[in-house]
Order: sequence, then C-alpha cells, then structure tokens
Amino acid sequence: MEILPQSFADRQALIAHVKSLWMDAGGDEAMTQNVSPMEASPEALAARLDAVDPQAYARSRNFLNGKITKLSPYIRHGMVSLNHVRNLALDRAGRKADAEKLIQELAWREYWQLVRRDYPNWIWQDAEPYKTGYTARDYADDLPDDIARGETGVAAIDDIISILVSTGYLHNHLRMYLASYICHWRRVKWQAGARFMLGHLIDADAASNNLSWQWIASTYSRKPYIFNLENMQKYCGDTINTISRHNIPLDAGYDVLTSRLFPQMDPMANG
Amino acid sequence: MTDIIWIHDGALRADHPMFKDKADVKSVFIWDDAYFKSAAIGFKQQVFIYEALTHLPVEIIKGDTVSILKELAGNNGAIITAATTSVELNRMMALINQTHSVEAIADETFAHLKSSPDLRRFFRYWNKAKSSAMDYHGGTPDLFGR
Ligand SMILES: Cc1cc2nc3c(=O)[nH]c(=O)nc-3n(C[C@H](O)[C@H](O)[C@H](O)COP(=O)(O)OP(=O)(O)OC[C@H]3O[C@@H](n4cnc5c(N)ncnc54)[C@H](O)[C@@H]3O)c2cc1C
Repeated sequence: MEILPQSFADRQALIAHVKSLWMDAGGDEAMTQNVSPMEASPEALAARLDAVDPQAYARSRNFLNGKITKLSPYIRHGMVSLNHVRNLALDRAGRKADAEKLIQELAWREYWQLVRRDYPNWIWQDAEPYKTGYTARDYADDLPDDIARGETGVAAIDDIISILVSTGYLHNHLRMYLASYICHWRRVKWQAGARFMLGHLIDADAASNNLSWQWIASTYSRKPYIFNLENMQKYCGDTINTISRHNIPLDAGYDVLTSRLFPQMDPMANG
Repeated sequence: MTDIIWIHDGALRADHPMFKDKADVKSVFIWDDAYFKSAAIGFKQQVFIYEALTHLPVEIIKGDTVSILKELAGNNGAIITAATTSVELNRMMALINQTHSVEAIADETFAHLKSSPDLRRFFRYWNKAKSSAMDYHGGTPDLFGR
C-alpha cells in the first residue's frame, strides 16, 4: 500500500506533490497552471468565520464586492457544518430575522443535497424539458473551445472565465451570468457547462453546481434565467469589463433579448 | 477485528460526529484517481483537499478505495464514515457493504422536517424547513445548553 506524505516544507511543495499525482493519473498539464489563493487551513477557515456578518450579508450579497462569506469550499468539504455556520449567524444577528437571508442561502445547500439524495439521476439528466422553445436536441453537446479558453470576444464573459480559471472561485452572480451565457447565448447543453465549471471550482459540488445549472437552463425551473449588461453594470463594479461596445451581445433590454434568444418560446406557456 | 474510519472529501474535519467515541480507531483517506475522475474533481480542488488533509489526523493512502478499505478492515472489521449524498461515494459504500458493515454517520442537523417536502421547488422545501432552520441546532433539544 502506498502511503502518501502528510507534511511539506511549504505550500509550493504541497502543490508540486499534487501536480505529480495529477500527472501520473494522466491529467491535463494545462489544468495545473493555477491554484486557488484560498487555503484549506484551520486559520483561513477561522478568519472566514470571524468575518461572518449576517446583516451586511443580507444587504450586499448580490454585489461582487458584497459581504459574502466565501465559506463554500469549507462547507463543501465538511470542514465546517451548516449547523455551525447557522448557529454563528444567529449569535451575530441582532434579531433572529437579521440572520434569515444567510440561513436561507445555507438552506439552498441543504436543499440541493436532499434533491440529489432523492433524485440522483438529475445530477446529469434533464429533470424536466427545456422551457425555451427548444428541445435538448437543439443544444450542442460539447463546450466550444473559445469558452474553455476564455476567448469568446464578449469582454465581461471572458473576465468571468479568467477569474474562474485562475482562482477556482466565482461570486454567485458571476456563476449565474456565465451559466446563462453558455446555455442561452451559445445554446450549449447545461451538462457541458456544468462539467467545465466543476473542473475549475474549488468548492465544486455536483449537487449545488449541476442542479443550479439546470435551474438556469430551465430544465429545473419554470423559465430560463437570463441577464443583461445593465444588470452586470449594477452589480459588478470595476472588476469586470462591462463597457457596452465590448459586450454587444449582452447589451439590450430583456424583451429584446428574450425574443432574440428564444424566438419560439411561448411567453404564456410558463406562467 | 479492525474497524477503520474512512474520511472522504465531504467530511474533512476532526470533530465530525463519525469520530465520536472512536479515539482508538485508525482513520484513512484514499487518494483515488479513478474516483476523482468519476466525480469530476479537478486539479485546483485536489490541491484544496490535500491541503485540508495535512491538518487532519489521517493516513493518506493512494489507490482504489474499495479494495484498500476491504483489505484494511480484514475479515470482520467495519467501515465507519460520514453519510453523504454523493452518487459516486455511495456507489463505493454499496460495494464495500457487500462484504463489510458500513456505518455512515450523519453530520450535525441543519433542519428537522416534520414531513417530507416536495423537493421540486426550493420554496416548498424552505416553507417546511424554515422554523427549524432558524433555530440553534435545527431546534433540536438543546445540546449545548443555549
Ligand atoms: C451555475 C452555478 C453553479 C454553482 N456551483 C456551486 C458549487 O459547485 N458548489 C457550491 O458550493 N455552490 C455552488 N453554487 C452556489 C453558490 O454560487 C455558491 O455556493 C456561493 O457563490 C459560494 O460563495 P459564498 O460561500 O460566499 O456564499 P454565501 O452567499 O456567503 O453563502 C453561504 C453558504 O451558503 C451556501 N450557498 C449559498 N448560495 C447557494 C446556492 N445558490 N446553492 C447552494 N448553496 C448555496 C454555500 O455553502 C455558501 O458557502 C453554484 C451556483 C450557480 C448559479
């Protein structure tokens, strides 16, 4: 039995070791070019827990620079329980109601886990038909190369892909934008996009990820999720290039985008 | 008899309930490339997992999860592990369970549900879970005297 080492001179040595295991297993070297700056140490986790602020979270969570917890990799790997984070949120909130938004988001994690327990097939199979006016056959099976490389020519999307690839983490809103772009602007099956994201996220969780992709795609919701440039400009600040002329396919009102992206969708069908 | 605690990537902490009253039981993590591939666990996530393992009282063994755990548990050892909804982990637990006892211990409670909710939409779940989720320990009889 091959016992692997447990202590390393420093983080670089640990990364080199994981890289050699990855390469031995036939992994793609290009995937090893980046590691996340988020560390899996008790100190890093303690710092995240210290920073939890349920009131500020409720006010600002949709903004890229909002006071989100960034606990997802620790929660995903069971380094901290949902129970612990919830109890902390209750401790820190002035009134119980002030903790509700954060606790409700924790509940999303629990919810997707329960869905996977009861419907394991939905991790890779459509839970329902698309509500886009298209059928699954109309969507490409494979992720186009320009998306994998982050060279779509849509500046905001390329910025999101670059953050994903270099850090292994995306704000929830950026995950939604990217998933929507891949499914609806590029008409690619959600499965291909979900696999791409899983391969890069350090909090990758097939339940939270794939079922969220189905929600965006409309195979697990009543209608497809779309966004536009104005929405990105509101939430993204300067981290993402949201200049109009660099993002032409995203720069339109919702009615225009809906009829452009889903010309055959029956607007009444989905209530 | 050699019981073994099998730590998997969904439960990387030393105070997980699976360790309760098991101070003398050896714990292992199996670095299983075929499993990582089947579960789509990429390089950056593998670095994160390995880094977490360096902070845990665990032996890291490279190879096939099912055969290694069976070998370690010998003829009549049990495998103690953390309950999970992961399809791939549960498939391996089922294979081990053909010859060995597998005890999958649940994590601390987030919310108690009085009846099973309609899981097709989040808010139907949340409406049933909310009052318990908004309470310490999911509103369980108070473990820590709060
Ligand atoms: C397309 C897509 C893919 C996603 N893939 C993943 C994934 O692989 N792993 C993952 O953990 N989350 C995933 N999410 C959910 C969510 O984006 C992340 O959990 C969140 O952005 C993590 O940042 P945070 O820890 O700061 O979250 P916070 O907003 O601070 O929330 C606290 C915790 O609640 C849980 N949580 C919050 N929102 C959600 C949600 N919508 N669904 C499930 N759990 C949630 C997470 O555990 C998170 O750490 C995905 C969402 C989308 C739209």
